Amino acid sequence: MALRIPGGFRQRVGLSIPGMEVSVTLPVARKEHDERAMVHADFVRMDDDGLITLFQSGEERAFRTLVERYEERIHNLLRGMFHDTAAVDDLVQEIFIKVYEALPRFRFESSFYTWLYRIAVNRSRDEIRRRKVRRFLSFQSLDDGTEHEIDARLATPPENRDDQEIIHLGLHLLPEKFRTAVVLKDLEGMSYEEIAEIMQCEIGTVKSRLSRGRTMLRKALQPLVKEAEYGTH
Amino acid sequence: MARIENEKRSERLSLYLDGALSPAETAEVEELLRLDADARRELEELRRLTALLSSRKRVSADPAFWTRLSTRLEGRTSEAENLLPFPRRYVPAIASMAAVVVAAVGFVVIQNRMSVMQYFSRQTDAVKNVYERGLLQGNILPVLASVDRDAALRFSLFGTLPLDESSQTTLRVDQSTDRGYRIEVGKPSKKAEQTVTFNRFMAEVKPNPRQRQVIDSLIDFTSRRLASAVWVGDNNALAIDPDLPRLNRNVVAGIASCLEPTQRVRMEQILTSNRAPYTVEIGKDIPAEPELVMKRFRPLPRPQRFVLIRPDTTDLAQIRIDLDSLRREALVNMQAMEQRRAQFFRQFAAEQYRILQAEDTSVPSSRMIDDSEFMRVEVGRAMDDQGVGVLHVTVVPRHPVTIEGGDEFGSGPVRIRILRTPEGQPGVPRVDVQVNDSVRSQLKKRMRDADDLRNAPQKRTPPPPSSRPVPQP
Repeated sequence: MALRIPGGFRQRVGLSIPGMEVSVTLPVARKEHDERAMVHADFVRMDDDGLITLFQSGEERAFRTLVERYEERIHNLLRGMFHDTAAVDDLVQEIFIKVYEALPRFRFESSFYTWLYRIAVNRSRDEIRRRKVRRFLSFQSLDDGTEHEIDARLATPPENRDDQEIIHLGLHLLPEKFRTAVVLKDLEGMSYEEIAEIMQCEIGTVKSRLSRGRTMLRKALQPLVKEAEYGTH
Repeated sequence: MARIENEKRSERLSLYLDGALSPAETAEVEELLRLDADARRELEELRRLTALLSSRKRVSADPAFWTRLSTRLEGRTSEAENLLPFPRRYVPAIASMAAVVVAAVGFVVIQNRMSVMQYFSRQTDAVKNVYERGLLQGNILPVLASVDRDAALRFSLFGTLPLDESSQTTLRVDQSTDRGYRIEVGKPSKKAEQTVTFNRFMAEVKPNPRQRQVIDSLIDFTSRRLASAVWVGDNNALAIDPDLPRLNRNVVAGIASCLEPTQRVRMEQILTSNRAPYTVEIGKDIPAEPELVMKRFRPLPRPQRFVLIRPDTTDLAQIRIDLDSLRREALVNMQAMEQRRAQFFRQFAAEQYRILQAEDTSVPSSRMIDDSEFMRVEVGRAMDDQGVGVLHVTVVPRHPVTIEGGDEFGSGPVRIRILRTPEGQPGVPRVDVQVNDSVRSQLKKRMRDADDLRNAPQKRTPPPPSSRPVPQP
């Protein structure tokens, strides 16, 4: 049976027995570079650029590794942007479908990570706008009652309250640009430079949006922030 | 004007918090903070806000995500060949709607005294048939994209799993039926039941951190299982994991068994007020077996055939876990492991006794293994009243474990290596005990359980560490 080993032409077979080690080197017939012989573990070891190069040369399996590498982060990013978890899963799928379509044209001018986040942020922005238009066309109030819901939840005793849920609701109150800046900085822990690249704006704009977003959120969650004071002292 | 000033000040404070100001600007802000109490308060609130945000609980990777995405990608790439009057991406929605329509029509039929179970049985057989004929391959999609913790908890406690809210279709675990479950169509779920959320349950039961960890892991596991438990094919057939009742039973028993008696009373109140299919046994002693915690368990038949159908069979194998057999296997392995361990130390002690008889040198009591993850062995020699060397072998596990004798000793999951001390050097032989990962993880779990028992408020007196007398060589 022919052995096909990526990137090498010899295979070392080791047999470990307590007290001794036997190793045999098998010569393997030289073959042209054959990506088919690669297995999932090979992809996992590769960096993003290597995977994209493979994908662009026709190895579609490399895409799965990219998805598995970033799915959790994109999921968390969108959980910060949207309140309804059911819609988030759909959106994450759409983002990766967009990535799949655009990846053949990726030019390595930025890191894949930043590029992916940019697609995710743009898709989130479109979705937020689409929802606004839909609510407007259906004559629904643009105020979806989030503020009242926060107030109601804050009124419950702390031991019965889900603070994480309240923070989510608070984020939902922020306008899209402020929300994106706060989520990228305070939830995802990104630098100003990275956020500017993802949001495609100046660093000064990022600083201003972040500050305004934090201020709005601080006011919306005032009782929670104040409680933390008593809790910490 | 004042608003702009305030905005500028807030931005400065925000940048100060992030450490993004120049030294001169930092000095300015610090001066402001020194003079202005409002600025100090604002900065403190900002700091707490960012701490709250960064402490947000993150969701973990979804093992079924790739399966769902690849199904969509597959549908997208074959769109050109699509002969349907709508895009393939609408297939999941239309298929599930169609499934509900079929179910609803079925419900009208079964109103004529035909039992729900018979209807569902036919449905399952239909799924099997189309699966065997290969007709369900391709656009098979999960009905539940994700199951949140509230839904997972409600399933665990009450055995209900909403399949479609709009048509009020619910899968309900029912111990009184042969299969252990039924599907209800057009029957609204109980309102009181819907108010039971994960956070409210935790607030009611008040678990300690260790218990919380156990419940968290059980509910997360349930969420993942449920998300891949119900599938729908293009031809309106549902495929349902037949192991759901067993999952429900094991999870609810697992939750109950990690609780203290007073907490179980509170859990029982929640179950009773919602007419859950289970009742918690409220006793003072913590039962060894989780299932003993629950009353009214009806023995379930083994699942006849797995009807979960999905495109990725690898994931299938990873996700499907038979908790019952896993626990049984763990217990059997644990007993075998203990037998082998006891047997080993008997032989080891006998060997040491023989060595000491042959070499009349004084060997100080010495610790043999301390880097082992699960036990410590001390071997040494003391003098008895008559001045005769007596060997002491002491096995001190980190938690008391009763070691029973066994008849067999060999390799397998346990490997033992004894390294003799070089001649002429004082000391005692070194013993290495190696166990494989499976046994090691069982031991760790066992130790955690023992720690839990010891840390529980209702402390039971632990048995003394196992100390064995010298056996006759």
